[in-house]
Amino acid sequence: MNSPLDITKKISEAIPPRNSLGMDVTKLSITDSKVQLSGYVKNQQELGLLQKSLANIAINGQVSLGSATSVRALPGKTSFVLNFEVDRNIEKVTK
Amino acid sequence: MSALSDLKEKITTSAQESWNNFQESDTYNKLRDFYENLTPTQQKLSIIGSAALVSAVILSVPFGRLSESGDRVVEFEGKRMTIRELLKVARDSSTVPNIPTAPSISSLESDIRGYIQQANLLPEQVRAVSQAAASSSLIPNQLAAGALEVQLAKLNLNQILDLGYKIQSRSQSVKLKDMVMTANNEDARYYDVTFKLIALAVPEAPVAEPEDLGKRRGR
Repeated sequence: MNSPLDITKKISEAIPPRNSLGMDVTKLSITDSKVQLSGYVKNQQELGLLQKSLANIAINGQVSLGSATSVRALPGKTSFVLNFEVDRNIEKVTK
Repeated sequence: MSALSDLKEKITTSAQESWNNFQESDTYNKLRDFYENLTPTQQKLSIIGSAALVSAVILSVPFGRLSESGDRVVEFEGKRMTIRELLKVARDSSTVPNIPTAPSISSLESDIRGYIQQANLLPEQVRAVSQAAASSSLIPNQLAAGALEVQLAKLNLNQILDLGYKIQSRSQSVKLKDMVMTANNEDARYYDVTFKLIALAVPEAPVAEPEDLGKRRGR
């Protein structure tokens, strides 16, 4: 079973480097196979790029944009809430 | 070769003598009279019937053996299949990793508190280490022995990673299931973190009794 730290590493590897995507994370929630990532990017273009990058590790490549009301609006920044599911690599072991 | 010829001659003589004796017996004479009193059709029928009876008696031996050998082949196939299945089970069983029994929740809680102490966190950074519901969509309830929730505040990323890896390495039977990191309200460079661990209910392997072992050796 992949731990949340493994998932965090996967997310970190999937998103573009900081020089092409300046992102501030306000919340990362990994509960069972559900992942919610909230924060800020510079603009809608970067948000699209982030969403596309995360689709590579999401189950079925689906990353949905949630309501960003829980993230305080900041001038000059685009807030986001992204929801997706990841494979936790559960293996049934019997003896 | 001469011994074989002698034996052959002895057998022939013996058979001839037996046949002559039989021809002189009452039974033979009665049967002969009975046969001669029959109509030609009845005589034919009796010859055919006798021939069929003798053939059936002679053929019953190889047919009986054939049927017995068929039963033995079926039994052999059954046993071979059972042995193959047993070998497969033994092979599968040996490839499954030996997962230790999970520590008790109280022991786990004590260990986690120890890790937190080693990390030199300030008292205000440790919010709670408490037992939680083991409900999860990943792990069926019957496979979970319990769950523990660790709530920490104002940690930097290195502290989160260090503690997280220590916690998840505690035991193969303890899984770090959930993690929620939220930017701290006072200083967004730090995060409040909640880890949720689940202790798996690993059944203990049955221990063979010394008596059983003795019996097996005896066999």
